Amino acid sequence: MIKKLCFWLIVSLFSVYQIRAQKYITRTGNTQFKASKEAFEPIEAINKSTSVIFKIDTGDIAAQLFISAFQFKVALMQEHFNENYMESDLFPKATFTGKLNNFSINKINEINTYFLEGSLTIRGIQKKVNSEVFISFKNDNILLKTKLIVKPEDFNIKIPSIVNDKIAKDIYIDISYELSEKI
Amino acid sequence: MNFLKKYKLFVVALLVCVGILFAYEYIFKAPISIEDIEVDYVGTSKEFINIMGADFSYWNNKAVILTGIITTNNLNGIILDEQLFCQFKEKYTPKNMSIDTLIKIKGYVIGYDDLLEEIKLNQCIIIQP
Repeated sequence: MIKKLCFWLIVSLFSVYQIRAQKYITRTGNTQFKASKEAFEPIEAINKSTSVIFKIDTGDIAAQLFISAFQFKVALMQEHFNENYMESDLFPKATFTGKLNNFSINKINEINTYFLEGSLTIRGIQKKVNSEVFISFKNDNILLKTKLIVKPEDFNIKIPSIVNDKIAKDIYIDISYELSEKI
Repeated sequence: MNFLKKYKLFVVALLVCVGILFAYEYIFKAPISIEDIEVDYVGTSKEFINIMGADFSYWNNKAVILTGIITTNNLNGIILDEQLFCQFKEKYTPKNMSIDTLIKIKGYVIGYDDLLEEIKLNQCIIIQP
């Protein structure tokens, strides 16, 4: 009787261990971009509503954001960004899927830089991207930071010649996601 | 005679300055705040979930006022009726957001998140607990 009890106790403890979070998520990740050229007014915006799922057993990451949730300081700039450049009515989302190579959650304190490979889809156009990602623990959450550099023409973003000089050739994307366990 | 001419020039210069100020204010004005914007829908979150299911794209960037039950509560926002995530406005930390309470919020619809399978609102403020 006691042996049976012990057996089931061990089995159930083992199962609970298996159910430990394999996914870390956020709904409010920060994705920021800068497309400014010196001496002109800054062209930058931040999206604080990025959704991310990170599977710690495989290193797979998926992220999604809504273009209309990019916040600019100037209303007109935000309007032009959505209506003229990004056409966010037609292409409301930008998505990313990728993988952190050789990721291991148990090694975060020793190794905190990983190589990310994946593809970014903006305006329906997919492009392979890669970067170095810095990972650390923040209390019980995983902090994930990286930078991407893209060009407007890679995603068919047409810059009118009249403002061509004011927009940088390379767009810098700064990513900072704080992910919590999803149970 | 000379005095009058000088006076006219001054008034014209003043008008031009005021004109430039107004233009500058218009060009560089910040986006309208959630408190001030008019809403396109008022109702319950459950009704809205059904309506939005029919045409997601119509609702993008529209402001809504929704009433629903809090099913999840975290640092950045709340989830109403398990399917609607409301991210609070920047630096807005309302208190007493207990699970199972009825609440009325105002926010912008940003879209349907198919990664986490929920409707997403941001810039949310509480209208009444």
